[in-house]
Amino acid sequence: MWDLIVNHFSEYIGTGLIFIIYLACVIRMFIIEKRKEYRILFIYMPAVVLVLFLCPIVAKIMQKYADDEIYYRIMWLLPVAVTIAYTVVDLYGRVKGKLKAVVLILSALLIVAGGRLVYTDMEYSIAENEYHVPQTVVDICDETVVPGREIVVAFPADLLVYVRQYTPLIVMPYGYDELKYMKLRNPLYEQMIAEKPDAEKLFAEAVNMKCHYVVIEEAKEIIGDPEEYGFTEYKHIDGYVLYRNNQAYFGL
Amino acid sequence: MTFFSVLLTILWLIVVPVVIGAVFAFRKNGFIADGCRQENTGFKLMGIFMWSWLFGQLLLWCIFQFIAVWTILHGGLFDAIVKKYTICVGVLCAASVAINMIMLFAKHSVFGAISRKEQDHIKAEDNEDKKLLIIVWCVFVLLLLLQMFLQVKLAYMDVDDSFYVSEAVTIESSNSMYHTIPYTGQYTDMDYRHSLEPFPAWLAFIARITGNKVVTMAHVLLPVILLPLTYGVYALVGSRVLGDKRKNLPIYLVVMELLVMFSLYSTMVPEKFFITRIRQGKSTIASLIIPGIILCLFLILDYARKKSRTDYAVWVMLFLLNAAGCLCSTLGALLCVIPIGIVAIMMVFAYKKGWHIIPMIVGCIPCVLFAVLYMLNR
Repeated sequence: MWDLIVNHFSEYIGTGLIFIIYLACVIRMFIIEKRKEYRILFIYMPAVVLVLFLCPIVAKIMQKYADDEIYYRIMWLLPVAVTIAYTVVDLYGRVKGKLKAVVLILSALLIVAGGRLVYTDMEYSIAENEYHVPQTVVDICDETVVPGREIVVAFPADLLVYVRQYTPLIVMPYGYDELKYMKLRNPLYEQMIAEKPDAEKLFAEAVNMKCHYVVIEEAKEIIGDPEEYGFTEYKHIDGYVLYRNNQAYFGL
Repeated sequence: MTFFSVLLTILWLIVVPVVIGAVFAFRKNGFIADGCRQENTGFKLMGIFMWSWLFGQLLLWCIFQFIAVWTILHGGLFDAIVKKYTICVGVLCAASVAINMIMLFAKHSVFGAISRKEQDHIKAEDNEDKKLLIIVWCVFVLLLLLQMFLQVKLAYMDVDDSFYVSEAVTIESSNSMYHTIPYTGQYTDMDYRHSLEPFPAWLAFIARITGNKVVTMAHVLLPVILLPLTYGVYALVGSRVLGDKRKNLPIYLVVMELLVMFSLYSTMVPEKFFITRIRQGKSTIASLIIPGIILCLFLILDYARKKSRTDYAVWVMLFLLNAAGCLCSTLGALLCVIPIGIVAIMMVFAYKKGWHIIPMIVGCIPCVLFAVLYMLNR
């Protein structure tokens, strides 16, 4: 239990400098702030929240009734940003002349140094369309969708997250949960992520799971001939090959 | 996404909440009028606008939560929610307009307070820092516009979208709710846990009523509108917490912006959730609902300090925040109740009075109700 608490705490504070700044602000407030409402809201309440977070019994209860992964969210109750911003304004109000500008610049520098620009996150990319979904997914979905009915399509792992955000008309034999919880291994998915998928296993499973299409990276070499198992190469889109199930029904 | 659908989005996410929330914000007396009495006219109008928007949006979320959960648990369809909720919003808008007109004509609205000239001492204080503060205000607005622009131009890949956004897409298109695995689209048994936090259903409703695709609403339109609303809430928190230093509010807001924009030091902090995935209910609870509760608790503590009777609108706001928290996340029930409970107990010791505990408990009723439903359906 203690491991869970320590892991979440260390991941939550990240590089740690912003949390240290926050603690310094709280200590400063504890020393100079006399008003009860400020002490309750910005010192005592967060202290109790922190104690609750560090308490193994609370962690045990959370684990039982919720989920391990979200335990850190108790820390959201610490008014970190409000306390830091309040302290900066308070400091600014206590100095005069050019020192005011110094307080502002130093505060900004500390935050910038302690943090990291969020837009440098690897998960950001230039939006390719108004859906914020890769254009490849849009193109493949538009090519395979039959308006008015659902179509079963097996996608490679890197596109799974986007497909059903774009269209509900595509049903998938496995989804992102397959990636997330590897215990839910799906035989078709295992072939899809294999370096050299075996055509027999891959397309037999695709038929078994009533797939209308199977989408595979162009760069992947398939061992065997898809045609033997009822799938024909239908189209190449943005580095992916669409194999179409010849026996599947595409009508309404 | 068309020009008309964008206009409808502005209507449903800004105009309608402001009109409905105006019932609380336009009152001549109460904490909102008291709070902005000493501001200049521009700030008064801005403050009243933000309070209206916040109150209206919270009220709309609260109503949606009760209608949606009731309908889902009774096996109703999404169309039924759309119908009931649209009627409710229409009635609320009409009632709000009527009440505000009456208040205006009877000179019971806050606008009476705006015309008063109580600003002399503020003007005198302002001179020293005026230029610097104007620059900081400009920096705040520019950074806000930059963040809004980047919400449109940059796409953020978050794997949880494959659940929440897909859920909303499925609800909107299939009319059935929480009977499908969002990741795959395969049918399954009723997902009770997520049906108690129907934020995706609200997203689906907003997309349907404005004629936008759910995915565009989730990734582009909603973030662009929730961004200024959330900073507005930070501004309301700041304007109260800063007290007599509130003329320095722009500094407070720029610091908040920096903390948000440089929040990549951890993947778990609310500021990171706010800027990267505001379309998800859990982000809304972290960035908007919890600061709202901090604001509400500050107002309650302030009334306790002044030994005066707490404005009923504060208790209403507490109730709405709790209900909206449950809409955003099932964990919301716990996250809302913890700070309220801690502060309530501390107030008994600090002010030697326990009367405030009753309205605070009443405010937590939505959390208790939905927590019990969660336990029963686990």
